[in-house]
Amino acid sequence: MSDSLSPNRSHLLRGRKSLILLAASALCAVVAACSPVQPSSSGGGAAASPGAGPSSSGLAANYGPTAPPAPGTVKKGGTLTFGLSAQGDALDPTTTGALVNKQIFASMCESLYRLGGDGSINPQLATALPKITDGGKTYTIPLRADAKFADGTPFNAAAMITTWKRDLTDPESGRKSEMGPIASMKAVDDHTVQVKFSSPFAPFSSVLTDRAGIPESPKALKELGYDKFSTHPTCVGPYKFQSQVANTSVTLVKDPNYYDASKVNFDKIIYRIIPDSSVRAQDLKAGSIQVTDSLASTSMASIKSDSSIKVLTAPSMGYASLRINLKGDTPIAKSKLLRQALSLAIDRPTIMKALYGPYATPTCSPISDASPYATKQSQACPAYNVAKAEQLIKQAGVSTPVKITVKTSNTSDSLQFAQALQSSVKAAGFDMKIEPVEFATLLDDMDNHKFEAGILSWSGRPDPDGNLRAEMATNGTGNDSGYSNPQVDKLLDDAVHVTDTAQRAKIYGKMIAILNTDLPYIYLDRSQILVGYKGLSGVFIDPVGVVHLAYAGTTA
Amino acid sequence: MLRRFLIKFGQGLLTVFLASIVVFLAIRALPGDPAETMAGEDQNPAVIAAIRAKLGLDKPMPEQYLLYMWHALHGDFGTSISSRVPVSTLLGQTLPVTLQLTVLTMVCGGIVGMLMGSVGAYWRGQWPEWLSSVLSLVGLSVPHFWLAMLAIIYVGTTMHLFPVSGYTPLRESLGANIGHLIVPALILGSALAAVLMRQTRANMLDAFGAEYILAVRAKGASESRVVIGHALRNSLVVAVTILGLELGGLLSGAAVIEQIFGLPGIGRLAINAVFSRDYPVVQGVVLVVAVSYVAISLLIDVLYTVLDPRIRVGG
Repeated sequence: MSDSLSPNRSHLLRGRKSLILLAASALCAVVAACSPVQPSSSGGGAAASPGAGPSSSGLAANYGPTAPPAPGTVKKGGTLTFGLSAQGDALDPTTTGALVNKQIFASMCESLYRLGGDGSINPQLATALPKITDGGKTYTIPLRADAKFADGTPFNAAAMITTWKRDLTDPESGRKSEMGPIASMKAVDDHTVQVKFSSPFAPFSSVLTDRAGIPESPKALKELGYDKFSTHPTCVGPYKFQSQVANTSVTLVKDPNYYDASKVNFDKIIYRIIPDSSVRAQDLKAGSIQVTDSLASTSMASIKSDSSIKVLTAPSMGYASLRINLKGDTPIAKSKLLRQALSLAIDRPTIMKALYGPYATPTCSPISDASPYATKQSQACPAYNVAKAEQLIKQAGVSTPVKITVKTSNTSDSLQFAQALQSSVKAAGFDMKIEPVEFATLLDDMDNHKFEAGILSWSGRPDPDGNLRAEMATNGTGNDSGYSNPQVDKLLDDAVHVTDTAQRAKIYGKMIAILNTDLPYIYLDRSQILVGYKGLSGVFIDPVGVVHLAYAGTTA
Repeated sequence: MLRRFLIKFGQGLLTVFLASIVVFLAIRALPGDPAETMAGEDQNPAVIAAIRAKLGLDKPMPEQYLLYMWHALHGDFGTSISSRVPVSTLLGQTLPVTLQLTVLTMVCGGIVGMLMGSVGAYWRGQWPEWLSSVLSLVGLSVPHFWLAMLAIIYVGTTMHLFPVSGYTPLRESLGANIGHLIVPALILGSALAAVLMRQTRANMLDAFGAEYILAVRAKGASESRVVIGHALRNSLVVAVTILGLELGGLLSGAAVIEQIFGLPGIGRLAINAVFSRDYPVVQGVVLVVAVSYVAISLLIDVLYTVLDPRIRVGG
């Protein structure tokens, strides 16, 4: 019966049993310890595609078809579930600072223009490119006559002006600094707006492909007030806002008021927030989501093993950079030569290949090679050269090892990246210390110039002005390094006063040559946008990485 | 006994009050503030200053605190800074999810734990005891997030048995709701079961060795009555204590599990709020959790008196 009444026998049994267990586990431990250690595979991306040698300019871009799928090839109706990579802030085109919100806006808040894969600006709610007169100071934009807001009110010039007034006067507006020096705006007639600048501002058309070009329903603005517009954002789009649950999802439904409603296929789109990239990849494979933005390079091996998943990809317009605090009392802040040495000591191609495989491209400039503004200077990236770096350090008169503390966000990806940099620069005599910091703290430290060097990424704007002015202009709003160079300031202004792309490219080329001598930022790499979808047709992306679903449907 | 209860109640209120002050100060002590995180990539100082003024973040701290508590006592927990949704709405959306997960975890973990503990105690010295020890050790040592990822890959993607992530509300579908919650609940329950197993086994062994069990057996009681009616019942006091302690922890959100499985619960809400320095949400979550802890502790006190008459009389 119960052994608890016979303690002696049970103790004996337990003794023998535990001896056997102990011996077995000891044996296992010895075997494990004595087996040879396998060298770990060199990072997720590289392991994913053995034999597919990455070209120096990354993968070929695939934006997907922009034309609506032929009738009969897609089903009508159903619900599309989109795996969104992060929770954004309030869904308000005027105030939002979050990039993920752009994904949601693509389906419910169209802008005046849309960026094409080749860098072109295509009319969307406007009917043609702006007519630019008066030496680049006046923009006249023709608008669609057949568009309606989701609440049924007409989209017209007055509505666009009302939105722009808000963008310029709302104290929480994140758009004001993007829109340039606007002197006045007016509705020429019901379907034409005119904007006058105090000095020519070439990036304006490009800015209108982003959130500043999204009209908001004046009726909704009036009823909800600026503060509460995000609780029910009302714009023009193939889908309209239905509801949202914080940290969970945003639900959109088909908008019958859309000017092209007959080509819209789904009844509903649910944007589900799934921050963990591996879970998102698994969800896509399992079919519980049909499309996702930003796949991680480490998920690509798993994604590629599923032939039913299609991947759209393009080089991002942004970059990761090592930002130097020029206001600090450190050797690296005071010596241009030291910064140049540091840049030469970073073996960009090897690091990117090891960490990301073909999914990141080394870079030394904020302008992507694929941009219409690319020039020889923007593409130039001096090769890894330890000897030259050592020579420059000696010239700078600093003794090795040169100590430098680098702050980075404390996510495992960022830490891995920082460690790769650390081991790379050691050869030239740099002793890099890594200081992992929580992201909000990192932003705060950079804003208040409380750092020696920091690694941050920038998502990128299609117009080079968006990638340079805030950071490089004296008193720029995002000037973390405290850089100030009147030559660069003048070139920044010159580049926006001219409209011709080739001319502007030349000016930016000159600027980048200067920046790569002064090096307030050491540009490191440009990642690849990776969007995955399954069972769908009519999905395409733009160069900023936004997934366009207006004409998407389940493949028939 | 009433006096004892009232004293505990008073202590509870004081605890909640102190917790609210501590979290109020602590979240503001972190570098960075909601205005900066809201400003996103652009970090425009003018925008940041405007947001700060609007949120009243430039007011002195005692004033901010008193304003907050005054509103909170009237049921207004403020508005989330990043999403502009009232905090009470956010809590109302997330608390039920965590509650459901918690209940399911306690059921899974509690049953498994007490069962394995009793089995281990009853069949002492034989393989069931060994098994329960090993399982207990595994449940305590294996990291939850690793188990979670394994579960997602094998159970979710490969075998298609359960959804990979996400949540379906109870009112939409009971089946889908449990489907989304069962795997997280089992994983969380493994640690709970581990702790319970050891405690239950120890207590049951004590009980089996006690004289009153001998007496009950001598009186001719059936084995099941001995084990369940007497030995297990007397172990319940400790089991309830453990469950109470764990329940508090589960309610504050098994944040990692919620994050991995995409469950919109209170833990995930709190994490995102801390990262974005969303002060009202963090304060709201802490208040709710503090009140829950206090309420559970009071409930357990009452439960003791039901389970163990000696406590009732002791006063």
